[in-house]
Amino acid sequence: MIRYIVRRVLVSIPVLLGIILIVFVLARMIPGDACRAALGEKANDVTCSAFRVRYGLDQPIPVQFVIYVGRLAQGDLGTSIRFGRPVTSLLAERLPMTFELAFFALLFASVVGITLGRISAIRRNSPADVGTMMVANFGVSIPVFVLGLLLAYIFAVVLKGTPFALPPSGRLTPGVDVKPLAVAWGLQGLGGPPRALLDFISNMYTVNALLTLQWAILADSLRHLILPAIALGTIPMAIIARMTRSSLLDVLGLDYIRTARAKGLPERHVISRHGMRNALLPVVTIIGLSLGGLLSGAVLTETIFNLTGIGKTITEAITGRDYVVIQAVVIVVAITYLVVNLVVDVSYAFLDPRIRLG
Amino acid sequence: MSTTTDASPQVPAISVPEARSSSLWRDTLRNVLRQRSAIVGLAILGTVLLVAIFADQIAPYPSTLSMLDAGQTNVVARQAPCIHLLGCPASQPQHIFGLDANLRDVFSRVVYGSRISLQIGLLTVGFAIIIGAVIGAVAGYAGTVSDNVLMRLMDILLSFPALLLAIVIVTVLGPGLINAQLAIGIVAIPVFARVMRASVLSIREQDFVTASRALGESGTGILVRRILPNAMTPLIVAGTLGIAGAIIDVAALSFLGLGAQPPLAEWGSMIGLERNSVFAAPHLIIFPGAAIVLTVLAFNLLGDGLRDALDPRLNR
Amino acid sequence: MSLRMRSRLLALTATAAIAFTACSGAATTAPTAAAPSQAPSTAPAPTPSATAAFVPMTYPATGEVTCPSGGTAGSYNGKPYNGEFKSIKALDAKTVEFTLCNPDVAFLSKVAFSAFPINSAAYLQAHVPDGSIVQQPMGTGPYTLKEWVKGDHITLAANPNYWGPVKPQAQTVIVKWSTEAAQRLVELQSGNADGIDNVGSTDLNTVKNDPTLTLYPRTALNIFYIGMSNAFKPFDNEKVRQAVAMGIDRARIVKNFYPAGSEVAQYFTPCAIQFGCVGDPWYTFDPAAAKKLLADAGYPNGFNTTIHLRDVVRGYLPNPTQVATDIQAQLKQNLNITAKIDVQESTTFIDNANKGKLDGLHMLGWGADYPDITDFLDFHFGGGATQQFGKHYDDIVAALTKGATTADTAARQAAYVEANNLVKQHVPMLPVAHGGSATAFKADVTGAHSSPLTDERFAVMKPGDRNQLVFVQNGEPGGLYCADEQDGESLRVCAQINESLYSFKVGGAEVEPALAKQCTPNTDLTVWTCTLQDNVTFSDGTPLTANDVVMSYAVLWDAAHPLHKGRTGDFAYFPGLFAGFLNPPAQ
Repeated sequence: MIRYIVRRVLVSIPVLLGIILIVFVLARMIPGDACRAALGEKANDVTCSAFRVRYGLDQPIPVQFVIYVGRLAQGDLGTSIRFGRPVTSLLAERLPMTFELAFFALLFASVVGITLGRISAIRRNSPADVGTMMVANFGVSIPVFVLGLLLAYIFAVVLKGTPFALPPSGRLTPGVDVKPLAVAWGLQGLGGPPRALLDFISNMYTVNALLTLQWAILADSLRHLILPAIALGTIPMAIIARMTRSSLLDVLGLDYIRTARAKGLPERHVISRHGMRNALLPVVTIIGLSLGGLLSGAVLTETIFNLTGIGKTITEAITGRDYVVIQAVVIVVAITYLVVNLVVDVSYAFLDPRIRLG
Repeated sequence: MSTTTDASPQVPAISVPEARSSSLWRDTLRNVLRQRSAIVGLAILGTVLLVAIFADQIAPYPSTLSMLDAGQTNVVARQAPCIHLLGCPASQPQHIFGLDANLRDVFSRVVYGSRISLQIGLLTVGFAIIIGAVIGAVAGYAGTVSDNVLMRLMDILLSFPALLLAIVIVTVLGPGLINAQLAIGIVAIPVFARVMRASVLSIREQDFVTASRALGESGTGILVRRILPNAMTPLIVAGTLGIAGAIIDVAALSFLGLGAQPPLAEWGSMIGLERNSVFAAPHLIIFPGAAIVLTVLAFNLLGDGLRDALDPRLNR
Repeated sequence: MSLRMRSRLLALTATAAIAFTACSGAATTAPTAAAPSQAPSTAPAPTPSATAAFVPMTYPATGEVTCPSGGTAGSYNGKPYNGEFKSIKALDAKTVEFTLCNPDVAFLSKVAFSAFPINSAAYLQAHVPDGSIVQQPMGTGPYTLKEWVKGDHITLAANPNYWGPVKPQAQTVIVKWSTEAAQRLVELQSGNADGIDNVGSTDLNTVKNDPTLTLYPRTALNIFYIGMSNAFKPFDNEKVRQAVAMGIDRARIVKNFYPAGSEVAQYFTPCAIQFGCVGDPWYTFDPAAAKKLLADAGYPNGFNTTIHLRDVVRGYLPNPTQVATDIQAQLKQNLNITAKIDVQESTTFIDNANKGKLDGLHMLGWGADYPDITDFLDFHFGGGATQQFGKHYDDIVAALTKGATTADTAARQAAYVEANNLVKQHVPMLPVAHGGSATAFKADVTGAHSSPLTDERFAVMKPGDRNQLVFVQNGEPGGLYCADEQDGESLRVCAQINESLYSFKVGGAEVEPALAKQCTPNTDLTVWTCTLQDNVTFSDGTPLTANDVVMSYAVLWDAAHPLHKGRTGDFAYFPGLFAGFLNPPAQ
């Protein structure tokens, strides 16, 4: 078991290096001048030469790469060209938002997807099957930007004034201030990594509000998350529904299910207690692996709902030629993937002996 | 006493049913048609295909013709649909899906867009399947070293969120439909490589492959003639689902202005150009949006149906 | 700020002051109250002892500027000088005298521009070196910066000690931004915002028909044009350019792709600007004559070319891709010119335009920064213009120089008639439209308006019975040090915090006194004497003196000044409007 883990980790290292190299090269290949993108269209040549020196953009590319990798090893993700501040602080501010959004989107997708998949599997090939699969697929077929706009219009404008009205953008109602964890727990004096961690958690407004018992803010931030979570969640929902359906169908064909039915157990009991539990195993791994689709979808969702998370940051970084941010975000995302993949593989191996011994 | 010249006792002719070489496909088709979702998918897809093939006959106007140049005078930009059957006065020219901002007929553009979307789906996935299948086959068959190297390369590709990597690739290459298809194709390669590799790995240990090897068939021969046909089915399923994803992803890139360039009538770019008119002129979003949804839905349903049909364990 | 830091800063300020010989003692002994970072200053800091004698400042402190004249450059300290300023002098605590090298009729309009804010000299010394002034501005204006949550919003708090006659009506102003017009409208309609900028062209009727909202159309002080660089064939041939000028139906473009309030442009400059519409109007649309002209030029069957554009929405061009598609269709139909459409990324496009790399046709425009014709014609076709249209047209340059350097109205008019006619003849570009735009507010916001210079003032807006005004604009400010910003999104916000000597009337383009009670010129308009208002304090409590004015201009004028730093360090508007820096950097 340990050997399997070690082997998987070792294998991830060249992948990581490959990722860094590719990101670096790709980012440099984007046409357009970083200086004018950062400082504005009318920045003159003198300012731009100074700018290039400051960000090391005047060095030959291989030198830049070596410097970059060296800094990366020390945990220094560089200084954003557009914002002029360290990328780590930028990410610490914006990553929590995307985490929050992704979490609630996944929650929505899982709950609805598993339910739909279950109905579909039980009534295989009936109109209910076709219907639920169509609903699930509809979610993945409608572009998230169209869905987001329509949802915002319906809930924010058409239903305005009713108790069902939902805000169309932002994280909190304008003017509402959040008391961060450090302040609420009297830990302002704390510094360094523990403080950074606290700040990171406080930027997830729902978690922050929960931990500091600011109920009104918790409600407000949840209300703001409903529409984007639904819009984003429709993407993995189809995959989860599909996976639940096929996995449940597999399980329901197995002998022990036949035995349970022969014993006279009610069908609902058979499905819930015996069927679903085993069927959900691959579904859980799929949930972990749909991070990719979530991040891609987050790019568009955050733009439509005006949420400042990683998706919006990286789109702006690409149009703004902010190489440093592009590299940092993609590397962080890729590392997250690697870790999630690793955890999923290991847990699958843990739960299914055939894989680890194969 | 095996003589052939003597009259042997009359053996009644036994009719042996011919082993039809296409029985796998025929069975598959029958299974597919038993899946209701697949039928729905096929029906929608058939319609889209017919629309694409007979676009010239179905569309009342060329897709890039502005009504200003067609001599129609009592029309405005972003005009709502005018259907004579539903009460629009006969004095106004009929445009059943309305007009877009350049006063082009939306119905015609949606119809011609079907050609572009189908082409996008097939080309992108075709490119990805061919390259992915080769990579996966080599990885599965040629030994652990190449397996490790190739799969690590695929892992690298898979570590990037698909849309983000596509955006970066298109930004590097420049906007345009061909570059967008290339980017989405590249991003889709690992999926097919993995599918192919899994098939190859599971099939190569089977007896009939060992038998072929014992009979002296070459490695590539075995690969092409024995393994490939059996690996086709998961590839087809993945491909069908991949087409759905490719259409959506290229639409997303066009929405962002990175894919189809004006005046091409691609559904995603039609929505992207008019995304701020969603309240004043929703018909500009609804019709191309519905077209995307239906086409993608069709491929998804078909793919699901195929998977069900080709899964031996589900055959009851 | 801790006590140790504060005393260290005071020491630093003192040292800096000694280095600038003529700088006053008042600037250094005034206590630097807590820099207004996150919280609005509550009680005003104790006023400095009135006994400290005011030492008026002059810039430049040493040496004298020799003005450029008759084509030869002037000089200062051995370096060449081509600018407009000769000296800036504080005569006493309340009077500043600007001496210019040439008469400037537009002086008041220029100093009213929000890119020339008056900052406290002490604040500049404290906050320019480390660049914190870009994130934490401090001024005399009706609002102070409470917080700037990057990527999300800016909160402004009312300045309780604002000197002006109209006190800020809303206690808090929150500025947000969104690039999507539909999203801005949803914010307004859902009640989340009190006002938005740039209502989408398809949403104007929605707003007009909504009784809870009010639309404020904005006068179109901008121009959209199709440029042609004479550095590339076949546009090096004047007949070809003229053929294009006649062969595009501009009325069709304005009618179909522009909102109400837009007009077809007959000249490059909008008519609301003096001398904008003198001389012959543009060619009428005549495809037959255009085709003949093209045939005469040697292209009877047309040719292939490219239309370059950037896909960004501006007041002068709300529907870029649609307009490009229509121009493509018209070129084909009227002139048999086959054009490909090339959408470029915004900054790349501007870069290519400035470097003269755009062959074929390019679509661009310009919005007024200040209401004078020099902002339009000189910037694009004058001697200092970029390579956007290829080689400069020397006769246009000569006419424009004549117009900018005389004070005589009749002579100016004659010069601009000549300039406009030459532009029509040479066709470096063809003007298409002056694009109208609009702001929209909730109906209960009194004092809401739109400004033709996109210079909306929140202080006069009262949001019903609410305490807080929420405004959604197009984009996030780059920085809040007005002097070093060029983007309207930045200038709008920083103008709420910092003020200039004069200002533009609310919602209009006429100038009126602001921090200066009055600026009077001498007879030939080369010396302007400004008397400051009484009892004006910055939001940190320090009083406004003439030295603050001198310092605010000096750090922009002198490129070698240690405080000539900002976000980009460009200060592009200064040389653009006042002809040049002192000690200009070597080109």
